Amino acid sequence: MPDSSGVSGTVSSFVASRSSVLALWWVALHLLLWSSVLAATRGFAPGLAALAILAVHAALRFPESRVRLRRSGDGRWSIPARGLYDLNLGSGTCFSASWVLLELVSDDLRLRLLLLRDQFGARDWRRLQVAVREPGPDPAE
Amino acid sequence: MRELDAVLESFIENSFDALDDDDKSRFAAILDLSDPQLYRYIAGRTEPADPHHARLIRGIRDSLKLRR
Repeated sequence: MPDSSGVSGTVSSFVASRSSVLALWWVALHLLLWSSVLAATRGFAPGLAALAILAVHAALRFPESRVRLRRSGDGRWSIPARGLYDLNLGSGTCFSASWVLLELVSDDLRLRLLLLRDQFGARDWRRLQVAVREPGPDPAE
Repeated sequence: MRELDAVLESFIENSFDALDDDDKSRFAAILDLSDPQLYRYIAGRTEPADPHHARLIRGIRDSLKLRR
């Protein structure tokens, strides 16, 4: 049985993989933009140019959804790959059964991460749902 | 294990906030167990040795009965 003393008392890691839901939304958004261009213009060339521009934009600016988070036993969060440590859970954090909007704050930073259920296995999703509900450190500390 | 997912996610959504801080930590620790072990506990096939964990597991089982 894992240690259960104190506030969790253990370090938890959460690895969010790429989201299929986010990818579908990204493609749909660009198809919608392309259809708007087609509706507003006439001719083959503008439509083809818009398709090329949107395809390049979709490929180059694809939102990165992979992230590795750590939650220490005292309730502080970190994103080691970005060099961010000792972040507290912000009051803007909210969640439902299928998504978590994680707000991580420090004295000079406020970071929001949207995490979707399809980015995690069932076990990690349960652990994340509990982690965002658990008490964090006293802000005065 | 879809049944296990459903039971635990329902407990997290409906009952977790009502636990005291110690039990919240214990529940988080229980989630670190493997799924087969958790399933055995929740199905009542075995009991955790720690009485606090055993009480929490019973609470999960009871919450399931109440919702049926």
